Amino acid sequence: MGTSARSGASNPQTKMQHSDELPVEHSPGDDARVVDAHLVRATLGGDKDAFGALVGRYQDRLFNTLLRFTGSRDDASDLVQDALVQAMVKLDSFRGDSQFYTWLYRIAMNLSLSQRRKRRPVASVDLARERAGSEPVDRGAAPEGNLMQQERAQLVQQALLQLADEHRQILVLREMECCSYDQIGEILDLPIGTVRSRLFRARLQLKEQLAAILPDDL
Amino acid sequence: MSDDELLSAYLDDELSDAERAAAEIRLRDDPRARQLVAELRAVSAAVRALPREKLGEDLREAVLSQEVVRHVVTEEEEQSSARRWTWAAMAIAATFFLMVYMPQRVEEKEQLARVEGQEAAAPAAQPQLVPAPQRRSSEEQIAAEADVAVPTAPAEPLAGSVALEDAPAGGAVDLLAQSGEFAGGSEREVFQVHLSPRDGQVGPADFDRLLASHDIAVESDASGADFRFERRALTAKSAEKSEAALAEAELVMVEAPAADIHQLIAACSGDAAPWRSSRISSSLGNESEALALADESPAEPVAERGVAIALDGIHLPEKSAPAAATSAPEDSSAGGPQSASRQARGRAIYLGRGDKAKPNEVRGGVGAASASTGSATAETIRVLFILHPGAK
Repeated sequence: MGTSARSGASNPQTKMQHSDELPVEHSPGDDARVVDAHLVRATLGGDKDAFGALVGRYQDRLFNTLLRFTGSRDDASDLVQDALVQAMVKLDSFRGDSQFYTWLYRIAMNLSLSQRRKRRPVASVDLARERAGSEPVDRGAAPEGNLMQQERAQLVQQALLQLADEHRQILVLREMECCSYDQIGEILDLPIGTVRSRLFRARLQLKEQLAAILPDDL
Repeated sequence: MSDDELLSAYLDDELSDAERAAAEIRLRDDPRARQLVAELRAVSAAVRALPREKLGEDLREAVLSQEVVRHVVTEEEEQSSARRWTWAAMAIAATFFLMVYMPQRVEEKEQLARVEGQEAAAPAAQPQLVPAPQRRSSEEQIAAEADVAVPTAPAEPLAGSVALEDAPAGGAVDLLAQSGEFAGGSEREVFQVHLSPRDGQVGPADFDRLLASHDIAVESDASGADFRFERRALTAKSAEKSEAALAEAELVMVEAPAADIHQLIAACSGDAAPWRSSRISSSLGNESEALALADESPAEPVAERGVAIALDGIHLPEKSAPAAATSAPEDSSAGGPQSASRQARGRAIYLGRGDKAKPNEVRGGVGAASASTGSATAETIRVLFILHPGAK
């Protein structure tokens, strides 16, 4: 997921332009919002292939986000499919006020949280065992470096899974999805002040977890 | 917002001009603030550095085909809902029966006690029947009844009555569970434990030895065991995955006291055990109990989201008597055939392979079980062990 927007203290100009959108991968001439709106209209007009195009646009991105939230490839995969099915079924209720992916993301997160309330927390061994390097990643490093990166990624993921759902969720939104505080507040239905304080607490919690397993990094 | 929260938001460039100016002044003057920002930045970078994983499959076809599946699942859910309502109605009827019948019976016994008490100790005061401040349960009434001084033999049960003293602690629902019909999945707890071989060389014979070492008798005749599965998956994909996982697995239902089940699970997946990675779930979503069982396993349990095949109902045949746990043949060779025989603490029934049971179909000797198995007690729990084959 190569988003162009990555806000930070040193580059305020990179803040996202639309407060109601998650950052979306852009390619030349591809305005995600316009394309999505066209595909949604076509789907509602009876063109099922148009919804297939929406699936193709967002399935990987949503999967990665849910993988970081659930810690399980199987869970994330099932959630992506469930969310897409639900989005297809309820598409006529999508008003277009927000971007399609934001709406889809909210469906997926609600599904995930709903299921997690009914269940105990998902263990992380699934992820640790299953992501053995066969999956494509966005970086090309030497094999030794890859191994170290994978091990480090596993440790970070395990630390994430130790957090409360609300803390992990807001960290994923901020760090993986690069959401602004406004966007996070809209998605989670929180005031900006709560977004700030919750994100700060989430970072502190993760800092403590990482300090225990990666002391050299902090 | 605290000053430290301000620093976190500063990192994200989410401050107003005035707030940013205040934060920068603090960062200039306060080394601890600079340290905190550095640490928060490292935390942020660690998460952002996580690799972007890809799904590895294209869901387009699966998603677009879901409308048909959704209709099927909806119909099944409606049928399942109707079945649950049937059981609920029967449970209410049984509860109503207990409420109406028990007070009458207790009253008759109390009247009998008064008459006999008056006859046996004429001038003595008749037993004081202290009015309860509130309505007591049937069990409490029976217990109170026992405290009444009755010098003669207790009253005979009413003709045609049910032996309610033998009713299990679970009350009306458990009565239904033993009625010879299926207990709905929502009424009877069944835990599921998935076991995978460490080296692919272990199978049911090894599990038999493990059962024997825990004094759990393997019942050879499973003809009276009925069980059915219910398809509960939201999507066809998760249903297929679950069905595929179960197809080649051997299913063994074990019924034993909870403490013995805990020991068995611990032995199943310990460091020296032939299996690994016990995945434990509850048919009722009783996660705390499932976790308690999982605590016995060194391997961290993996939750099974999207399990399509849930145990919907199970009826075990009447307990064979006398039940005895015998050592496996190779273990008893030195001491003569089947020399080691002990009183069984529980029992195990092999139900067959998972692929023999289809969703929503009943397998086993339907109707063969008697109406009074009495096999489930408050002390025992039931665990379905799912023995997965090793890697081929």
